[in-house]
Parts: sequence; C-alpha cells; structure tokens
Amino acid sequence: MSSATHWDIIVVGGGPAGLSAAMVAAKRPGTRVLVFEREEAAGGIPRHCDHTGWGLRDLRWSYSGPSYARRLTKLAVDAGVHILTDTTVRKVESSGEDRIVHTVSPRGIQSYTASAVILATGCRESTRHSLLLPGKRPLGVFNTGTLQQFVHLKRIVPGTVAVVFGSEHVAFSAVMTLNKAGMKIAAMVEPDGYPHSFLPVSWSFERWYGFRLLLNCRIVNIHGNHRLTGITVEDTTTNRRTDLACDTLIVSGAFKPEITLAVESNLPIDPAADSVLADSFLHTERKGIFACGNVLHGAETGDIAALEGRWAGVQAGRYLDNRLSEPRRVRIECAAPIAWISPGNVIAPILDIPSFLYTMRVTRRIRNATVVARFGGETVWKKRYGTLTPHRRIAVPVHTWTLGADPGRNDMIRLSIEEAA
Amino acid sequence: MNAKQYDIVVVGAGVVGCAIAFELSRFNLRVALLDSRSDVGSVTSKANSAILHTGFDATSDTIESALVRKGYQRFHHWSSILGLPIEKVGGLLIAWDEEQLVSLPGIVEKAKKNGVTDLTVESPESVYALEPQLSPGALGGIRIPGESITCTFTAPLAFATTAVRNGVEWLKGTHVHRVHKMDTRHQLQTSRGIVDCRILINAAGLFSDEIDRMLGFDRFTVSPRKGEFVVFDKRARSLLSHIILPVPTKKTKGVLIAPTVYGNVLLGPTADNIQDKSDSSTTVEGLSNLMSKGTRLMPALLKMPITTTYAGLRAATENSDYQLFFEPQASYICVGGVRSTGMSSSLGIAEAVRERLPDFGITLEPKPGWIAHRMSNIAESFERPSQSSERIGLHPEYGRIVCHCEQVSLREIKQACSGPLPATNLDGIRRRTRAMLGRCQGFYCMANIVDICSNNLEMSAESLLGMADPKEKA
Repeated sequence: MSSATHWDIIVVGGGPAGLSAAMVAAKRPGTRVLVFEREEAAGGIPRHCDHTGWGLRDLRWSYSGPSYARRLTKLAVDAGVHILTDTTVRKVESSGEDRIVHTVSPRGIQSYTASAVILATGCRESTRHSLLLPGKRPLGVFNTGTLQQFVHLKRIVPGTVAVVFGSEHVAFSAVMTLNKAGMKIAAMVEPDGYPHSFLPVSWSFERWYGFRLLLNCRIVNIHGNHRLTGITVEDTTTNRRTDLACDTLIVSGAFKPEITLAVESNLPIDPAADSVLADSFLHTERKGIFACGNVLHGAETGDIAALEGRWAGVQAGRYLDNRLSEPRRVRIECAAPIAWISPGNVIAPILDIPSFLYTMRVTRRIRNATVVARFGGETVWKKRYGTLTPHRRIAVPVHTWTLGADPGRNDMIRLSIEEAA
Repeated sequence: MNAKQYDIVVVGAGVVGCAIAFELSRFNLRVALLDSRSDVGSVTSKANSAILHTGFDATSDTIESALVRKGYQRFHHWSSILGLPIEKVGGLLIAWDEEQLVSLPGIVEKAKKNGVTDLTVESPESVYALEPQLSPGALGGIRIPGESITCTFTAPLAFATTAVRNGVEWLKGTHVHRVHKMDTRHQLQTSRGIVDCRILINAAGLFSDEIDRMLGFDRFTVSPRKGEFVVFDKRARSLLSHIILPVPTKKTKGVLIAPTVYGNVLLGPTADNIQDKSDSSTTVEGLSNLMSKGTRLMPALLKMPITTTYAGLRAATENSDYQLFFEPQASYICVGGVRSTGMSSSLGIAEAVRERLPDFGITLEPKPGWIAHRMSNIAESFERPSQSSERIGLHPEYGRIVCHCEQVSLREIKQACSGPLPATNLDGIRRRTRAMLGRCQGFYCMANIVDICSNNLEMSAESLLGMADPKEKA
C-alpha cells in the first residue's frame, strides 16, 4: 500500500450522514477525507425523495430531497472532500493504527488505508418477505424507496392503483409519490389499531388524497401470477376478510439499518436494534471506526442523520488528535416494551454531548408511560410521556444525565418503562 | 402447411426437459425444446430445496432410485464442465425420538441397497459436535457425506444454453393445444402454429398428465404437492454446516434446514396436496408452521432476519415412482411424475432416454464441434466476476456493482440480457445473476435494473414490470 492511498479519514456512504461527517472532518486543518459512494452520485436517499422539508435542523432551510442532496454534496466538495462514486466497500479491517478499506469499482479491486473510518451506510425498509406477508410473488410489490427511485430517478410510473402497507411517516411520503406519478391510492393498511405517523397527518392525507386507512388489518394473501391483481386483508378484530383490487403494493417502513458492511467487518452489533453498536462519540467498539446516521437506528429524518454525521466527523478529528479520551463505556440495556436505544453505549462521565444523539423506540403503543433509567441501583433519569408510539422517534436526553460514582465493571444502565395502572 | 419439422421435440423446459435437450444436442438430430413459458426452468425447477440427492433414502428398486443415483454422478461430472456450483456439505439426519432412533439402522441398510455406502451412524455427542446449534434432545443421527447443494437456477440454464448453442431450437412461449398423429409423425397444434416431429418426449412436469392424455394414454394424474420455504439472511450461514434432515415418513421427507450455494440458509418444505397447478402461493398457515418447526430444530436460526419466502410445486402423482414410459409404437417417451428429486435425476433421465432412442429407429451420430457452455458463477463459495481483478481489468463493468446485496455487476446484468438464451423478464434476470434476490429484495436496485434491462432487452419498463400486456405469457 503506497502512502499515496493513505487518507486521514475515509467515510463509507455518501448520504446526509456521510457527507456531513466528511464535510466537518475536512475542516480540520490538513485533513484528507475520502467518501466512497456505491451509487453513481452522492446524496443518498434524498436524491429520490422529492418532497420538501429536508435540511431544517442542519442547514436551517427547507430543501427538496434532490436539492438537499446536491447542497450537501457541494458543501462537502467545497470543504475539500474527495468523493469516489460507483465504488462499493466490501470490508473494513484494522492493522495496527491503520484501517484498511477494501473496495471494488470499475477501476478494479483496490484497498485504501486511513487512520479513521466512518460508516454511514444508511438503512432500508423491510421487505414483504421479511414481514412474512404471504401469497404469490407477482410483479408490483415494491418498497417506498424503490417506488421513489422509479418515479423520481427513472421517470417510470410503475403501476396504476396502489395499496400502501404500513402507516409510518414514510407511508405518507409514498402516498405523495404515488399521487405525483398519477397513480391511484386504493387504501392504506395498518396491522395496529392506530396510525404510526401523527394523527393529523393520517387524517388530512386520507381526506386530501381520498383513500381509507384500514386499521387492525393484516395482509393474508397476495394475488396475481404475473402482475399483482389484488390483496386479501383480514380485520383482526372481526376476522373478516376483504379483497382489495390493486396492481401495486407499497410495503413501507419498518426500517432496518444496513449493517452488511459492519457484519462483514466484524463490528459488534447491537442485537436489539440490529444496528452498529456505538457510544456517545459515535465510536464503535473497534478503535478508529465510527458510525453515524441511519446505520445506527433505522430511519431518522435526513437532518438528524446529518447532525449525527457532523458529530461523528468532529469525534473522528479528535481521534486523529489523540484527544478522544480512553472511554469508560457503559452499555444501556432496554427492557420490553422498549425495543432499543441508539447509540447503545454511553461514555462516562457524560460531558457535552448533543441533545439529539440518543433515540429509542417502543414495540407497542403505551399511554401515560414513565421511562426510567437506573444505574447501580440509582435512578439516573425519569420522564413521563403521554403516548409512546412504535416506529416513532423518542428522543432520550442522555446529555442531561449524571452517572453516579464508579460502578462495578459490568454494570449497565437499565432503561425501562413504568406504565400507569 | 408450413410446419416446423424436427426429429425430436421435447415438451417442457424444466430441469428434466433441458437435460434431455442437452443430451440430444450432442448428436446429429433436429431437436426442439418447447415450453409454454418464455424462459427455461421457471416453474417447479426454480422453487425447491436445491439439494443434489445421493438417493440414499429412495425406495429401493424403483426407477427413481436408479435415475437419482445415475443423475447424481453425471451432475457431479458435468458440473465442472458447465460451471454448475456444487458444495458437498453432507447431510445429517437427526433422530428426535426413540422410534426414529431405532429406524436409523434400517435407513443405513436401505442406503447400501441404493449404492450409497458411506453413511455413518452418529452418537448424540458427535451430532452436537457437528452441529452445535441444533436444539437439545437429538438422540442420534446419520451422516450422509455425499448430499450436496447446488444452484437450481444455473442447472436448467446451463443445459438449455448448451443445447441451443449446439443447434437445438428453443420454442418459447409455445403452448401445446393438441397432438395429432399423421402417419408416422406427430403434429403438435400449438399457440404458435404447427410443430411436426418424429418423436415426442413429454417432460411437461405438472402438465405431463395432460400431454400424456393428448397422446391417447390415461394412466396417471398429477396432483401437485406444494412446498413452502423460508430463506434466512446470510448471517445465518455460519450456524450450520450440514443439510439437517428429519427422519422421513411415508408421506414426506419432512422439513429440513439447508445451506444454499448463495450463502443463505433455507427452511422447508411444507407438503400440502393442492388442486390448482398454478397455486405457488405461500400461506399464513404454511409460514407459521415453518417458523414453529424451525424454532424447534434450531432456535438461533429463527432469530435471524428473513431474506425471502417462496413456494414450489412437486409434480406428484397417485403412483409413488416416476412415470417413465417408452412407447416405440407411438414414437413417444413419457417422463412424467418427476417429483422433488428432478434436479438430481435429470441427467440420469436424459441418459436413460438417449440409451433407448435406437429402439425408436434413431441413429445417434455424435455431432462434430459440439461445445459445452460454461456458465458464469453466481454461487457464493466460488469466485464471482466482480471478485476478479483480471476480469474487471478486461471489462470495467464487472466492477460496477448494481445489486449490492448479492454483489451483481452491471456487466453480468447486461450479459443476462444477451447470449443464446437471454432473459425475457425480471425473473429471468434474477435466475441468471442473483440480482434482487438478496436481503433488500430489490429495494436499492430494482429501478436501476429495470432501466438497464429495458435498454438491453428492447422491452419497455412497463412491460418488464408486467403492466403493458407482455408480448408473451411469462
């Protein structure tokens, strides 16, 4: 490996998190930063999310997805970041103080070395199969991300009448894309008894776009030998089955962190979130390897991913300066119905970490819940929430916590919920 | 009438029909391979457990047992020439109760009769040493070293591509309505006109009974048996090294756990007798049965993410053996009722057919200049094009990854759109490259692939997505 290929920081993934991390890292004097992006252009998911509202918290402006993607790319390039597109990273290894990044691209199979690596590989939606939606396998079953790529990147209208499965925020983004493409929305189907997005959103979308949100409904069959012809849904409260005619089924949400590279690189994985395990500095448990954005937790909005990216970029710079203190890592363990918290580790003592950093999810809807964090027998933090809804961001103000004196070596912070009787 | 004339027409381009066409392509004969589908291997041959069976557990002295044994050897022989990926992972049959435990010696004896002599009986300790992730409670087992896994997509494609490259005509999208006997020849009335041949070979799988009746016979009925499968993420691959088999019952071989050559793990199949030959749907009940069976066999597996689910049909009949009939009087060969062992026996069946052709007045002269078509590797444990610096150096598009989960390059997608047997739809792209078959099932790459294919297949994106009426029934 010649020194010509040595970089200070290599970022894997050129979406909002990766570009923001790279931009901030490149502002450290003399720092050479390289971003690998596997698609033909940097920008990530916003490239094909043609609705507005991107960039509010990081750039303090409301952009459309594609213009946000272009803006972040420009900011990174202007800061001196090198971006290599069409390049897939297969593995990250460590060798002494160096990280070795193995890539494949039309240029060939190449390895690059860096002092620090930041993983920003994003997330994807759950597939019809991973959700065990039964039936045939006709054409016309897509995720929202695929629908948006068809419509906004390829100018292909992939169907005529759609049913949307799921009711997270992204399901409503799917509705907007379907509408923009001139497709009809037959219904939105949600297995739970409440929409996972905000009630005013679902209420107004139903009326504005003229579809029904079918709650307590699960998909029990998918029809069509060649192209989708319809689905059968079952009302789980009455067991009544209804056929819905449609040629498109959009399976939305239930985001999964894209941890393939992390797994290939033997990084510790948080089994609860199936995400990369990181700490308050977004440092993973492998020295010099950081992670930021949706690979940590599934989909947050682009601006949150970007802010996490900036934080990771700053910390990677501190790592290069040898100023990232040798941490005392404390694991946060979640008790049901808390699904997970991300990042999964806390560096003690807690100093100056940003307020947006820690987020958790619940597995079911809970009303009048008190979330409690305990450490070494002491209550560290306690907060009452009116309603907690699955798949929705629940910010956890870890930056306000004070961890008590030196606990036992294997002590964890235990996060649990006390429900009102 | 201006009919296409052949010496031999093979009806049905599943793995068996393709293997027969492959075999016949080696001789100076005018042969056609015909199927109602637009692509080969696109019905039962694509959706099964992808196991290359030794035939250790076949009922002795049956046609099936002899042909599986022969087919297994020939498949291994041709695999290195045609580039068929095989992993000889071995099978491990587990006894979970006393009754199953006492049946083990009988299974070993039967295997010996079937010519499979390298089985070993394993103690519970050695079972867990071989497969530490198995649920507790195994009382013993049998190891069958020869049981192998292979690629069900590549095999029919390799056979058919070689056949077509050596002069076999591929009559795709051709539905047989009727068969007339005209003097000594068959006239097939098809959706694409008359096809005329001297000898008809029926390898129509699920529809072999219907073709058989068109020839004036009435001797078996295909009643499909559906098998549902769940495929787990590649992270599950390290959980096991063998094909984990249950003790077979009279009715079914039971639910197994097997590694796949793509680096995943599959769980299945269920076994449900159904009526509708097109019913390849997974069901609420089937999938939940599999999940609970899987939990009982290997709890750690069920914690892994699911990559895909599918169902396939086996062309079962009321008879337990293959429906192999040679009718020299009628110039007709029936290869019906080939059930779950079809891929294993395919080259055995092809050889059996070839050996009997002289009885039909066919002279087998080897074709000069015959060439085997070597397939591009899509299996995980062998080198893929995008892993080869040399190939990327020659063709940089081998380094441009399009399907990220399965690491399929742009050049592989384009190649699947060309050549002697190009893909005709997205499913054909999947089977030729593995693209869109990974953990994201096309989330990242489907739009891109539709775009690439519409430029390289001269099909509109809408048609690829099954919206406009496709030119042919896929």
